[in-house]
Amino acid sequence: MDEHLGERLSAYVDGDLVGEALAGAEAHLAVCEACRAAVRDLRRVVGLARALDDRPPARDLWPDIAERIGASARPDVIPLATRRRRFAFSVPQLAAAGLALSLLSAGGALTAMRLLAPAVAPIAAAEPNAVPRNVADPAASYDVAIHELEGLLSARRGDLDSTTVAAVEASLRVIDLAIAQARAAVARDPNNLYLNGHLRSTLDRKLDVLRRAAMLPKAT
Amino acid sequence: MKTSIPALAVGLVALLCAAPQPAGAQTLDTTLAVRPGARFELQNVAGTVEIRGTRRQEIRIRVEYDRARIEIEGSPSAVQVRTVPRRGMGEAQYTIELPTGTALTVNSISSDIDVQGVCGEAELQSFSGEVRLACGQGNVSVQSLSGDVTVSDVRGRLEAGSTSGSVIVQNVRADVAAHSASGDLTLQRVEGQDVSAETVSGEVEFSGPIREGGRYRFQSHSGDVTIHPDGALNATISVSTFSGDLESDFPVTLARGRHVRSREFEFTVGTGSARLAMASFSGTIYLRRGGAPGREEDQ
Repeated sequence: MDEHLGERLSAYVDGDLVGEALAGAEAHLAVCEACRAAVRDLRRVVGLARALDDRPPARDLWPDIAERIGASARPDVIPLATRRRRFAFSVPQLAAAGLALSLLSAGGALTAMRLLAPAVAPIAAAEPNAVPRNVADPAASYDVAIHELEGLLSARRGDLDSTTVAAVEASLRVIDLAIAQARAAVARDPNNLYLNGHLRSTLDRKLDVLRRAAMLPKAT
Repeated sequence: MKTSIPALAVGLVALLCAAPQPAGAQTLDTTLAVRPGARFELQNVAGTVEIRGTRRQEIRIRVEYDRARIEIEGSPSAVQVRTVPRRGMGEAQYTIELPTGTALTVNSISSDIDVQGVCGEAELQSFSGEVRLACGQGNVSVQSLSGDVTVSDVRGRLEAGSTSGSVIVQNVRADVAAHSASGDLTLQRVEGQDVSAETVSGEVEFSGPIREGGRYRFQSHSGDVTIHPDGALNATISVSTFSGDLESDFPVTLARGRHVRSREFEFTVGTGSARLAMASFSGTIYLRRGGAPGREEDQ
């Protein structure tokens, strides 16, 4: 498979790619579910940013202005031809998007490593909180990424819809239990391909849930 | 308010201005004539979204909204609608008609999404609402973070997922990727060449034909995995579990040298041309004859 789109993702979503660059990106997207997912995520972030409250000033100034100029109050439906909303992402959302992209890059490298490696290395042996020395240490990559996303989610917890957060956290507890069981199984049988693959896929699921949760918009 | 805007020869941004309304719930009812192949996008915050297909070449948007304003940007080739909450508290109930075949994108934060009869490409996502799609074609993606997802009658390629909700996929002729963290995955009467379903604590159930040369992957951590091949089965089947079991209606004959471990093995049924992988860390894996349960009742 070709290299993942990486930094070209943003240009693709923005419509800035042309010619061969665009054709290459589209060809890659046709065969790469991970990049298609990243494109969808970025588009959702853009779309939801448009839908978010645009943080009006503390006092609505329009009625006074309208009275002075003899215009009607703010219309309920506003033409957008002359009023394009700018995108204003929160720091956590940008961080989540950035982390998602970096994970995608790491994931691509990991995939390549898996394809090239003669045998799958057991990942339960890695220390849980180890800082990755390089991308070839998959357990450390997962742990650091998960730790960062958990931090993002924790920091934003108060801003998010409590029901949604509760559902996400319940799912994360389920996944954590599965990860613990899979890690224990791998520790008992480090060379078991199924167990190693299962642990990776469960870690992937947790990353996916955290990534989606970290990109949740503020509660309305 | 009811507004009708004719199709324009060139891309012209539709301009809709509702008169000042008293406080409380308000309504908008507008119809836009569009060209065949027009795209539709909606971004909602809270409330409901109900979309239906129509044979008329027009888009009708009816919305009841409160503490919000509605922004509509339109041209004959694309219409975008947004709910913009006032003071962060708005909600809107949409009832929308789209020409059949319209490609649509719907994003919402906490509203349910129900789309029926549009039958085009679709990308639907709600963070905490339920999402239902009946009829789609081409690339279809239906996602919820904490709500249930139900999809039926799709042709093409389908991704359906929820974090904590269940996912039900029925009567599709498509390659399918379904996933959940803690919900069940039910794939009934699914005809695809590449089908996967993965959940952590939920159960996985699949019924449909296992096509020659197809790839099928079903996985759970603690839930059961139940496969009902419909029709002839010619597959190389891999079974992986840590502490679970396998119950098979098909004979399990292990090929020499392919038996990896007692709980991880591979066997062949028929010509073995398809690849069928079933895995459950601690649940039971069932391989059943006879297609979907309850098939008679559904027909």
